Parts: sequence; C-alpha cells; structure tokens
Amino acid sequence: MELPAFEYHRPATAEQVVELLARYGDDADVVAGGTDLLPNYKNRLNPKPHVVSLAAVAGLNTCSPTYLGALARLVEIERSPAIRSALPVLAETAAAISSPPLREHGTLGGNLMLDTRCYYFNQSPVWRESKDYCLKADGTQCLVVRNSTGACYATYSGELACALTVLNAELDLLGPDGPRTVPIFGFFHADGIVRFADRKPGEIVVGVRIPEAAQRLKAGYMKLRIRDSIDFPSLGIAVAVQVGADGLVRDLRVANTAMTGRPESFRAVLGPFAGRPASPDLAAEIGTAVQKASIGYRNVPLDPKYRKKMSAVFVRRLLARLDERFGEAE
Amino acid sequence: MATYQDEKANRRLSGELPEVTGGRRRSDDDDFELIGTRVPLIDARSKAAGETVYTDDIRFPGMLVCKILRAPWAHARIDSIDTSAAQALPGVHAVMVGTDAPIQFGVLPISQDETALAVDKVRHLGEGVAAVAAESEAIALQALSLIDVQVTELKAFLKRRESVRDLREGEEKIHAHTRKDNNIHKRVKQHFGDVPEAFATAAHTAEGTFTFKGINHGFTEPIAAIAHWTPEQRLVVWTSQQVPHYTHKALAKVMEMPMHRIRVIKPAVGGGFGGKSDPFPHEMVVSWLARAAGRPVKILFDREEVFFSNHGRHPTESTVKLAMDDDGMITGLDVDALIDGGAFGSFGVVTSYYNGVLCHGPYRLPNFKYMGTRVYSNRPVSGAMRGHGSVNTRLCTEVLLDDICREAGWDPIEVRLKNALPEFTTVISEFRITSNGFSECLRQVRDRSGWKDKYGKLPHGRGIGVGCGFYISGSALQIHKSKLPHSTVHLKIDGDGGVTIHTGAADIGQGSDTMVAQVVAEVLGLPMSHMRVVAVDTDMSPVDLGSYSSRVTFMNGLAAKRAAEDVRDQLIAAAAKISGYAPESFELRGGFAYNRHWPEASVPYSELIEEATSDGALTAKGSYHSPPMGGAYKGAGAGLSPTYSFTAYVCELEVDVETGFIKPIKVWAAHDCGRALNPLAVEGQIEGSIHMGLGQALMEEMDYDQGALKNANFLDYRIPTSSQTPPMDVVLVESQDPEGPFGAKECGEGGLAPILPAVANALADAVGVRVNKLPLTPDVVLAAIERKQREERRKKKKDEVA
Repeated sequence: MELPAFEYHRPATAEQVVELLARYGDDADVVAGGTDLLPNYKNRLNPKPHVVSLAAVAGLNTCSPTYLGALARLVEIERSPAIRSALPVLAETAAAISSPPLREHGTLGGNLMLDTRCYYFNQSPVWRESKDYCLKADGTQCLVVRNSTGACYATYSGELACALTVLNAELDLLGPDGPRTVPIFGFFHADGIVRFADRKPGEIVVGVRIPEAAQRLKAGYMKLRIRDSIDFPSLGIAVAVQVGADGLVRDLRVANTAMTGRPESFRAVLGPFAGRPASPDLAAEIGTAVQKASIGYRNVPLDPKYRKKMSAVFVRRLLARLDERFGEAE
Repeated sequence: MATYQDEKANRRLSGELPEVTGGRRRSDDDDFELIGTRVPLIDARSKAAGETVYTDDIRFPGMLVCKILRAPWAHARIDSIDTSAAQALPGVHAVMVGTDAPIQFGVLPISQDETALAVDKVRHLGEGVAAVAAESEAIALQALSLIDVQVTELKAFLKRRESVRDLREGEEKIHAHTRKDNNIHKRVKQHFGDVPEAFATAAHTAEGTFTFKGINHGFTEPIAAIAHWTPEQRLVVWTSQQVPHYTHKALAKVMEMPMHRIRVIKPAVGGGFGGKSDPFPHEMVVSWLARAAGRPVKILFDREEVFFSNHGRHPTESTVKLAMDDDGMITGLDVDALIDGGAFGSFGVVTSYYNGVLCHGPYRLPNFKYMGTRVYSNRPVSGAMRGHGSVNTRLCTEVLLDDICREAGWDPIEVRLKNALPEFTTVISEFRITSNGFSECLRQVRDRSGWKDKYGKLPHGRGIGVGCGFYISGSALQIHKSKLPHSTVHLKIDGDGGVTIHTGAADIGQGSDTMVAQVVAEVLGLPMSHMRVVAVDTDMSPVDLGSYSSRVTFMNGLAAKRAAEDVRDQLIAAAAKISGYAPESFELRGGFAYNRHWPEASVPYSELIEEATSDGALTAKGSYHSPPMGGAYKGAGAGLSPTYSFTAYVCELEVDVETGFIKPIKVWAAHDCGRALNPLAVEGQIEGSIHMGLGQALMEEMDYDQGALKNANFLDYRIPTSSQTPPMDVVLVESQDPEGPFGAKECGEGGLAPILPAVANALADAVGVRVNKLPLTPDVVLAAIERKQREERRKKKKDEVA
C-alpha cells in the first residue's frame, strides 16, 4: 500500500526543524528512522500534510555513556563498546528492540517518542471503520475501556525510556523558546493521545543526558514477548540497584513499559525497601510490590493479569542477576 | 453392532486378503546418476540474485491498478451500491460490482458458493463489494472512497456452536442453500467396526476435548494477479496459483467464455501451502475489469487482504476418545470434530472427511467412529492448509495415546511400534497401504534422540515427547470427474539438444520444476543443464490438476518419467540404427547411448539427436492415472491415495515453570518418503514442516474481536523466526514405493502434523500438564502449571487431614 501524500521537508539543522514545526504546528510530524511513523501512515493513522525529516540534521549522533544524541541509531547503542562497559543496561535494552534490520534504521529519539499502540488503533482503515473508529484516530470512543470518558488507554512501547528512567536520565529539548532540560521521569503522560506531560508545543528531543552516577548502579532490562525477536514488548522491566558492602539496599529503582500510556516508575512503592538487607526473599517482596502497583490493559498481546504476574518474576530475576545477594539461596 | 465392512476390514488387517495391487518394487534400478543426489533447485540462483519474476514484477504498458472495496460488516444485506462518483473520477477506467459477474464458483463442484464480489449480501468482514481499475493506486483508493454502499446489517454468526443451532427469530442463514434451518455446511458420519463394543470392553480409555485456533499459511509472496484482454478478444491471466487448472475452469464459468479463449499463466510463486489452491474472487475481478477497460489490470494484495482471503486451517473443536486393550493395542477411536469453515465452502467438504479418515493410520485400528461437522460462519473462509485436515485430529489421538501410556506405565514409542501398520495391507476404511517405513521411522527417532535415557527421566521443566503421522501422497480421486489423466508431461527435443519439459505442475517454491527436470535427466542420462522446464502456461502446458494433496512428485513425477522413457526408447532406436547393434544393448548414460557389451559402439548424444530429429523435433508424452482402488461405501474416496508417507518425530523441550515459556531444544525427525529423489529438497520440506507446525503449536493464531481479525499482519500474527527454531535432526527413511517414480512418495505435508503432538507430549513429560488447546502460549501454559500446583496443594492438604 502506498503512503498518503505529504510534503517532505529535509532541514539541515535542529533549529530549522523547530522553525518548520512552529510554522506547521499540528499539521507536521517528525521522522527519523521511519520504522514507527511510516507503517502508521500506511494505515492512515493520523497522517499529517507535512513530514519533517531529521535525516540531514548534523550533530545529533553522539553515542556515549553520558550523552546520547536523538539520532544515535539503536544498533550503535547496542554495539558501542563504551556503553557496553559503562552502562550495559542501555546496550541490552537497545538489543531487545524489534529486529536487526529495524535497529539499523531506528533511532534513540524515535524509540523515545514512539507513538502509543493498541489493538484497536494499529489497524487498517476498513478494520477501524468496522468498529466505528476509536478515540485516537477518527473516532469518539475508546474500544478498550468502554465509557472511558475521554481517556485513551493506548500503550507506550518505547523501551529505552524504561531503562533511562531508572538511570535518572534527562532530556535535552529544543523548542521555539530555546533549549531546556527536563527529567525523563515525569516527561510522559499516561493518556495514549496526550502522551507527554512536560513537552511544550513544537519541542523536539535532541539528546539524553545520563548522570555519571548512574554508572555506579547495577542495572538490567528484561522484555516479555512471545517471539524473542521482532515483537513489541508486552512488558518491559528495568531495574537499577545498589547494595552496600554491608548488604543493605542503598538505591533501588524499577520502571516498566508496555503496560500503560507511559513508562511507569515505582518510586512510591520502593521507598520502604531502602536500608533492608538484600536477600532472595526481599527480591520476591519487591517483585510482588511492583506487581501489585502495576496496571495494564487488554490491548497488546498477552492479558494484563499475566503481564502483571511476569512483572514480579522479572523484577526478582533481574535483582538476582544484578546482585548475587538477591539470588536464590540454593 | 458391527457394520458390513467390519469382518472384511478385520480380515484385511490380519493380512488375509492380499488385495494390494502395487506389487513389490523391482530392485534393478538403483544405479542412478542424479536420483538421490543433492541437486540445488533450478531456480535457486535466480531467487538468490533477486531476479525471479513474480506476478507483481510483471508490468505492461498502460496497465491499470485494481483495488477492491472491502466490507466493514461481517454479515449484511446489500441494499444499494452507488458507483457513479467513482466512475466519474478522472483516471478511473472501470468499476465493478457483484452483479456484474454473479456466477458462483468454487474449487469443489459441490461447493460453488463464491462470487467475484458480494452479490446480494456480505458474508465476512473484508469481503469485496466493489472494485475499480484506475491509472494509479492513489486514484483507485480515492475512487473506492467515493463508492456508497448501503446495507442492512444482519446477525453475524461468529461462534461455532451458534452455527450448529437452529435459526432464531429475525436471523438469516449465511447461505440459502444449506439443507436445514441452520448454518451447517457439511456433516460426515462414519462407523467401521463396533466402537461402543470396543469401549465397553476396553482395558484403558482416554478422552478429551481439544480446541484449535484458525491459522493462516503465512506464505511470503502476497496474492497477486494480472488480467489482459487482448486485441484478439482473448483473456490472459497471470496469477500466483497452486491450481491454475481450476482457476482456468472457474474463469471460463464466471466470464462465460470457452476455456480455449482463456490463457492462464503461473509466474514464479512465493509460497502457497494451500493458501493459493482455490480459484479466487480477485482473479474474476481483474478479468472482468480488464475486459471492461480494454487494458491490462493488476492487483496486489496487502497482507491484511491475504488474511481476508485466508483459506487457512479450520478453527476446530474436537472431542476424541481412544480405547486400548491390556496389551497396549488400540481397539477403538471415536472422533467428533466441529470445524469452522468461515463464509464459504472452499475445500471444506474434503476437510470434513479428512479430520476423520486421516486417523486410519499409521496404527492398526479395528473400530472407528466419526462425526465431522463443518459450519459456515461470518469469518474469512477456511480451506486447505499444509497437512490438510489431518493436523488437528492427529494431535488429539497422539496425545490421548500418550495419556494411556503414562497411566499404564508403558513406553509411548514401544506402544506405537506395537500398533504400527505393516507394509502392504489395507486399513479399516479400505485404503491400501503399500510401502511403509513407519516402524523404521520410530526406531530411528527413538535411537537418535536417546529416548530411553530421557523419557520420564529428565529433570522437572525438561521433557521429551513423540508424535507420529501418515499422509496421502496425492488424492486418488479427481475433484472434477473426468477421463483426463491426473497429470501429463510433454517433452520436446529439437536440433539444439536441449530437453524442453512442458508440465502443468505448479512449482510454488517446493521445487517441483527441479523434480521433473531431475527425473527426465536421469532417464535420458543427461546433465541438469540440458533441461528447461516450461511450466504452467495453459496455452502450452498439458493439464496437471495442481499442487495440492501432496500429489506432484508422485503423479507429475510418474508422468515425466513415462514421457522420458518414451524419448529414451526413441533415442535408443536411433542408436541402434546408427550403430547396427540391437537396441537392447544400449542404455542412456553420461551423454551417450552406451553399449553395455561393446562400449566402442556407444553413440554420443549429439549424433542421436541428429538421427532422432531427422523428421522433426522428437516429442513424447507421459501421463498418470491412479489405479482403481478403495471401498464402495459413501465417501470411500476421501483420503484415498495411491500411497502414503509415514512420519515419526521426537521433540525435546524446556519449560520455564515461572513464565510458561516453552523452548524447543531439538527435534529428531524421520520421514518415510519412499525414495528421496533429491535429499536436499526433501530435508528442506521436513525442516519447513517442523518450523510451520511449531508455529501452530506455540504461537500462531488468528485472533478475532467479533468479526474483525485483530492480527492481520506479520507483526501480530506471530510466525516463529529463525531464533525460535530448534536444531533438527532429519532422517529420510526410504521404503521404496512400488509405484512411485523411482520409489518416491510425498514429503511436503506429512511432516507437519507430528510435531504438534511431539511438543504437547514433551510438555506433559516436562511439567506433567496437559493443555487441550493451541497455541501453547506462555500464559496458557503457566495457567495450566498453576492449576496443577493448586490441585497438588489441595490433595496434599486433604491427605494431611486424612
């Protein structure tokens, strides 16, 4: 199927991108690798008359353990020796995304800004017509949660955001009012249409700052999907942990993806675990806490109850893998 | 209560009635140059180079793009269609609606229930209601958006059980022609022997109700076709097809033209697996539009449209009961299968039989009862898919067999060996079994997998399981009764010495072109480079019925062999004439008519050709008719085949007991293909079958939300990738079929079914749970494991209380 017609812009600087976005407002989309946007366009999912490409923008390709440019390709993050040694969780997460050919094209920025997904949204025009369309494209009702009173429950599937959340990363944005830096935690909005809580109109992500302190954490990522390639996550869990020489938990962070409209952080429920001695039982307790605090919807593969249950298993397995004091006592 | 066949069948089983007509194979033809060698497929280079021409690669000047307007309703009466705005759009050359070509067609003469486009009602979401031919895809899509279709929606039938019951007030049948006041399309009943008696006297019984989701073939090349209405008023159609001959017939019917005014050409096909083995609505649509527009018209489906076309494996619910005696011999089998046919008939009547009759092997079965029910529903049509009709019931029977073995403490492989059909026998339904390497298959996988050290002995979470099967090697019964042979091959050799092979057999990627070339080259003692295959152009090719029922190697191979033997005789006559030696002293080999007694009298091929073509090109034909066989009862032709393949698999796997994920570790596969003409190709078919079967076993499913398929794309319809495919140890068992070409029989389909029960049985061995539905996705497996844990806890508690 052909793409719908649109005007294609190929500016050379990030400033020009921002200018174009300011000019066209809601009538423009940004494209980098195209692996998310173009399939959606083919399905006529909110196509815009203007598409602004980042392909010719220079200077956004940095790929280091402390700074990632928006145009760093997933395959570069996956293979960077510096990242693999200093922040293996990022390489591990990048390697879990999609399939090798798509990682050649996909970018960090694209994965962060991935559109939310839903069984009732990512469908062809005739399919959506059969359901009288959904809130997120051409319709007035949510087909996942009936009577949702205007909320969209489409699921965020970006995976690097999940890992970057536990690393306390910050996003460098550039907009009509100039650059600013915001924490990734709090950047996303749970509503599948709103998507961003802390992004001003016309702002683009140009890069991600990762504090050096993150390198002192032990961090890992696990992904739930039926096939171990290609599939979007049905659940992603990132864990970062630091256990002192005394065996007490100093720092513990968990985030998930593919459960709601944004990566969820579990700061609120993890607080009580600080200062407690790392043990297999504690790992199980933490897993259960995350499971209980998780919500999910029936709009991606595998039912929410199972995905929540896997949250506990993944948290426990990650902790055991990251620090042997969480490991099984066998 | 014994039926009339009972006594006869039992006598056959005990070997008293030597009715097999095949006779044992002569052993004097083992000295081959090409047969049995690993020959790369003749189109492998062009495919690897990206130069193979598929239907969509063909372009003509002035060619128009066809798009079909697809219904967003599952079941609706069409009140009106207004195409005037579309017709007026510049760039649109023709617009078509259902009433333009209302003649019904279908692959089976008894199920002519499809039309080019919906005529008076829509029967599934995605069915075509109108079509346009325009100068570009953009214009075609715009034209579709201008077509106004008014309908009255009807109650849609989306559950198997609903289609069985009688209609209620205000409901309308999907098809008016069904016999009763419900949506049952076909009901098949069989009873051989005395099943109630077998169960009454059985030492062991097992039963279960199993549910299977519908699955799709997932072939790579999407469906495509081009039609051209020529200045000579002929219709030429290029189409990605497994059964060009049936398309040819259906086009003649729908277009109301004699067959000789229609030419059907099959370009290279990128996979079919049964999903391209019906005449299709879109073939009628492009043909009608090409005639209306006077220009070539092409259609290329997107993947969702391929899923709308479907014809995949029927969603199935089967209740199966198995009875065995004290010695571990099977005494009875009772199968009740309810299959969801979707909106149309397709091959469904055959599927209705196959779900039962393809249980008649590979074990001795003295008593058998079957009820098969195929219903219409408002979903895309189900049809034939690799392993047609045999796969789902096979899982049920193999799993129940294992259940009884576990309960009785028997080794599942030894029990299977004990029950294995011998060679040269007949089964209860009067299929004749000739060559049969089944027991050897079982012994091979048993020994190679280390079964005896593993079964029941692996640590919790790791298991090993066996699954078996047999399959037809070509349906002996023709779909359309006629005097035509099942298959014919024409050969022509002209002065350049190249051998032109005209065959109607459809190479769909399985390698049938290579097979005929290899057979002819072997007989003529020439290298493969002399062979050129001209396949499936109905103006040039003799009729072959198509690539279905695993018939091509056996039937087209025999036709090719016979044609080549005719040519061989002509060349040897030429050698005799040139040399003056007796024809009997010559054989063709290594590019010579080789004289066995006086090698110096051998004549090179170039001289033979000169002599043999002295009055024009050397030509010959060869054909295959299946011999008379089978019983006289109703439905006796279903499942009847000149010979059968046999298969045994063992699968070892790991189950993650906390997540429910199954990871196949290794598959040991033994398949009796009679003789492997080309082991490279046969192994490929077996490996492909295992991969495809693992898809159905572990992850593939057509997942509907009401009438709408939620996963009509290759992201959400999850076919295993190479990283989920385990190592496979493939052994080819060569039982030397007495009738097959050089002893060969099928290898394309029979290898699929056994992997499903091998996985299910290994799962039971690994964690002790039995899941009676497919696919075995991790959530389903985990739920079963947890259910078992709860039961064990409850039991333990009870024991403690007691």
